[in-house]
Amino acid sequence: MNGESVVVFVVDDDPRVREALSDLLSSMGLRVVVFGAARDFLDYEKPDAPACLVLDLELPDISGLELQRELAANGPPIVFITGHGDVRSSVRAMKAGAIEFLSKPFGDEELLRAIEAAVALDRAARQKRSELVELQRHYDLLTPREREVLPFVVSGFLNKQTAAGLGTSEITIGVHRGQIMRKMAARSLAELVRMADKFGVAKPE
Amino acid sequence: MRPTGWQKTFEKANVSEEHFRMLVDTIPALVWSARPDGSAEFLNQRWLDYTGLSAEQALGWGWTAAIHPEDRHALIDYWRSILASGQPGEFEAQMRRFDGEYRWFLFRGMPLRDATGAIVKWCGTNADIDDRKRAEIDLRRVLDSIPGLVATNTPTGETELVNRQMAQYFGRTLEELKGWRTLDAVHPDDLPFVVSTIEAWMRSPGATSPFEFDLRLRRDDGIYRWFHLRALPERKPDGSVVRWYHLLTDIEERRRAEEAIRASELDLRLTVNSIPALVNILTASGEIEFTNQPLLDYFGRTLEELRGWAGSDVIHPDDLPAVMAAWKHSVETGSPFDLQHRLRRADGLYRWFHGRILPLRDQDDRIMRWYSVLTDIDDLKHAEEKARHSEAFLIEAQRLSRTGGWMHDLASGTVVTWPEGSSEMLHVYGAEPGEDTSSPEFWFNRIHPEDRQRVLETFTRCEVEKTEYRADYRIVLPDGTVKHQHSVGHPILNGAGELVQFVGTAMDTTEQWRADEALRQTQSRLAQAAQIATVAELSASIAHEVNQPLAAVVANAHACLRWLSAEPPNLAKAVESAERIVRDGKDAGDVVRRIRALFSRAETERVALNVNELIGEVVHLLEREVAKRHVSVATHFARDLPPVIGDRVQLQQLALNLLLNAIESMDSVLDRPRTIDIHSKRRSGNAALIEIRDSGAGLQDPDRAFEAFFSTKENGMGMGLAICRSIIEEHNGELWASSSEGSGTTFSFTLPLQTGTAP
Repeated sequence: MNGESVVVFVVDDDPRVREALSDLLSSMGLRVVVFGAARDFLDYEKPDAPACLVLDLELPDISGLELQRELAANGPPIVFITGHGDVRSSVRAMKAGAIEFLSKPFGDEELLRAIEAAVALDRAARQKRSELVELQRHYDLLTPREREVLPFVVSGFLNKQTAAGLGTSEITIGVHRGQIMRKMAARSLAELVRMADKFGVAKPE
Repeated sequence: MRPTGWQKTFEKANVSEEHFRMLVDTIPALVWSARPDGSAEFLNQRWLDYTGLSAEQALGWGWTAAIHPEDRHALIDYWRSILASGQPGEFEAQMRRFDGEYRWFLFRGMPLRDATGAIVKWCGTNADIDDRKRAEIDLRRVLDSIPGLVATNTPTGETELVNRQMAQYFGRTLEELKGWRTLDAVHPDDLPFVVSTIEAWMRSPGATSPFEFDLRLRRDDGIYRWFHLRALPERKPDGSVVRWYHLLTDIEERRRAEEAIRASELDLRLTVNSIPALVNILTASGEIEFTNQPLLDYFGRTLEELRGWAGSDVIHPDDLPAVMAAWKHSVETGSPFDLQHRLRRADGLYRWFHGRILPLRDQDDRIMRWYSVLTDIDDLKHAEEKARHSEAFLIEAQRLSRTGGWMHDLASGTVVTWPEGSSEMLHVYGAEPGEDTSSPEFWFNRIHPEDRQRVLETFTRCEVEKTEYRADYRIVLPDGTVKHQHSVGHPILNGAGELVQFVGTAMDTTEQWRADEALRQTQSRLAQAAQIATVAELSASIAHEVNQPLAAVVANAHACLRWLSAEPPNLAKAVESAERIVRDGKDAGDVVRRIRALFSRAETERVALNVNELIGEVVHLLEREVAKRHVSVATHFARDLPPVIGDRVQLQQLALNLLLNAIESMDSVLDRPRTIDIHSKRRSGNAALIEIRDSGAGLQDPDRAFEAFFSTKENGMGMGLAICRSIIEEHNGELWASSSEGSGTTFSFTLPLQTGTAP
C-alpha cells in the first residue's frame, strides 16, 4: 500500500464477521469502516480517498446486488463476500462490475489482493475523474464560438475548411484556435485531441 | 178201488161205468178226479202210464210224489186254495215221467156239484205244455240275457212281458209290472219330452220304423239312470198295432263319458283360450283350421281372416328368413318346428315368441295336422337378457373387483359360493376344479395360521350376536401364495328371528394392500426426497450458518498472525483475535452439531424427548431465516411438560417444515408485524399440544393443505404438510390447521406423552 490513506468499507450483518474483518484489515494497516446494513453505508459521509467496498451478498434490508445496482459508477469498486457460494448471484455480481467474489471463509491474501485491485481501480477512476474535472474547468473558459470551433480543430480540419463550415474568415478561426489552445492549456494539437477525446467532444456535423 | 161215486154219476148219465172208464182211458190226455177233500179218486190209464205209478201208489195223495219237488208245495197250496174257494183253477207244474224226466203240465181242475150245489167231486186234466213252456223259458232266458230292459206292451199300454233286468231295475215282479205305467219312473225333467215324443209318434200312424230317444228312469233305489229307448211296434196287416216291443239300454256310462267329453271339450276350449299362448291348428298343408282367442286378439283378426293366411306379414322382417327356413324344413321332414322369433301385435308392436309346431300323425305316419303353440316370451326374454346381463355383470364385477360371494348356511353347516360355479371365491381361494368346498373347514383352513384364530372368534361372535361380520385376514394357498382378504357377511334371520345363514362377499385386497404398502414406502421415500429438497432449499442458509462463523474464524486467525508478525508484535491485539477465534469456532461447532442432528439418517427410534427443547433447537436453526424475513418468533412453552415419545430427527423435520411454512406464508405481509407464536401445553388425554400460529395470509382450505402436491407456493412441491401429517400419524398424534383468511393460520399437533408420566 502506498502512503495515500485508503479506506475499506465493510458491510456485513454478522457482527462476528464484521469484527474479524475489521481486525484483519486493521492488522494490514488499512483504514476500515464497518456497517451492519446497506442503508447505514449509503447514509455515511465518505471521505475523499481511494476506497473499496467489501460487501456481504445477503443483507437483511437491501441485498448486496441491489446496493451494487444503486451505487453504479458512483460507488467504490466492490468485493463481494458470501456464505452461500451461489453461482448465479456471483455471475450477476461480476457482470455488474464486481472486482471479486469471495466465498466465506476466505484467506487474508485473497482478500488483500482483491482489495488492492479494487483500490487500484478506484485510484485510477479517481485520477480520471480529477482529470475530467480539470478539463471541464478549462472548457468552461471557452466562449460559445470557441466551443463551436473546437470539434473542427480536434477533427483535423484546416482553418480554411472550418471557416467555410462555420461561415467566417480563415483569420478569425486562427484567432479562435490560438485562444482554445491557450485556455485548454494544450501544448500541442495532439494533446488537445486527447483531451477532447477524454471529455467526449462531439464530431462536427 | 171202487169207484162208487163215478158209478152213480154215470148211472145217472146212463153211461156204464165200464164204458166211461174205457172212454176216459182212451182220451189222449191225463185225466183225473178227486174227492172234495182233494185226494185222488181216479187217475186214468194214461196218467198212470205217464208217471209209471200204480193206481194204488197214486190214489189218495200219492200223486204228489210225481210232482217236481220245486213245484210240489206250490201246487198243493194252490190246490187247497181252489178246493176251499170251489172255483176252477189251473196251475203249471212239472211232473215226473215214468222214465224220470220231468215235463211241464198245465193242471186244470173243476168242481162237480150236485143238485144242491154241493161239490161232490173235482175233475181235472193235466195237459202237456212242456214244449210251449220250454220255448217260453228259452225266450225268457234270451230276454234275460239281453243287456237291456225289455218289455212288451199291449197297445193300451199294459205290460205283457218284462225281462229280469227290468224287474230288477224297477224292483217289481212281473205281476206288479203288469198294468204299471212305466211313465211313473221317467225323470220329471224328461217327462214332457217323453210324452211329446210319444204323442208325436202316435200322430203319425203307419210308421214301422222304431222310434228312439234317451230318457232317465228311476231305479228301485231312487237313482235315475240314462236309458236309450228303442220301441218297435208289431202291426196287423191292417196297420193297427198289436204289441209294442221296448228295449231300454242303459247308457248312463256312455252318457257320462259323453258328458265328460263335452265337459273336457269345453274345458279344453276354455283352457286353450285361457292359456297365455297363441294356439292354432293347421292342416297338413299348413292352412289354419283353428285358433284360440288369444291368437285372434293378438293379431286383431277373425278366424275367417286368418284362413289361408301365411302369417308372414306379422313376422319381424329380421326373423322372417329363419322362420321360413325352419317351417319349410319342418314341412319337408315332418320334424317339429322350434324357434324364437318376433310377431307384430295388432297395435304394431313386436314381441318375442317361442314358436313350437308339432305334427299329428295318423296310423300310417302321415301328417294330418300341425299343432302350433306360440308362447309370449317377450318379458322372459327381456328378463333373461337382464338376468344374463346382471349375472354377467356380477361375474365380471366379481372378477374385476376380485370379490367373491359366499353363503354360509348354519343349519347344514355348509358353504356355497355364488354365483354358482363362477364365483371369484373359488378362483381366489385356489380351489381345484371339483374340489369339495362346501365345508366351512375348507375356507377357514385357508386362513393364515396367524389370523385364523382371530377370524374364527370374530365369526363365532357374529354368529352369537347375529351381527354383521367383517374381517380382514390373509389366506395361504396350497402353493404358498399369500393373499389379503376383506370379508363381510350379512346375517339372515328367519321369521322366528333365528340366524339361518350369513350371506357375504370376500374381496381380494392383496393388490390394494400392496399398493398401500408401496404407498407407504413411496411416502417414506418422498419424505426423504422432500427432506433432501428441504436440504437443498436450506443449504444456502445452512452453508451460511456454517460459513459465517468460519469466515470470522479464518479472518481472526489471519489477523492474529499479522498482529504477532508485526514489528513489534502487537500481542494484545493478537490475544483479542485469538479469543474471537475460540468463540466463533465454538459457534461453528454448534451449527454443525445441530445440522448433523437434523440430517443424520438414523433409523426411526422412539425416545423420550423434551418437545420444548426440540422446537427451541429448530427455532435457533432458523434464526437467520427469521431475521432475514423480518419475522419475530415468540415461544410460550409449558415448563412442566413431560417428555413425549418420538423420533428426534422426524419431529425436528416436522417443526422445521411447519416453521418454514409459517415464515413463507408471511412473505406477502407488509401491513402488520410478521409474527410466529409457538405454544406448547399439556392436553387432556395425556398428550402434548403444540401450536404454531403465524400472522400470514391464512389458508383458504386448511384441510386440503395436508394433501400431497397441494401447494400455495409457486415453486412448492406441495409435499411439506403431507409429510408432516405422515410423521405425526406415525407418532400416533394428530395434526390439523385452522385458519381464517387474512388473520393467519394455526398449525396444531399433538404427541402422546411418555407413559407413566401421567400425574
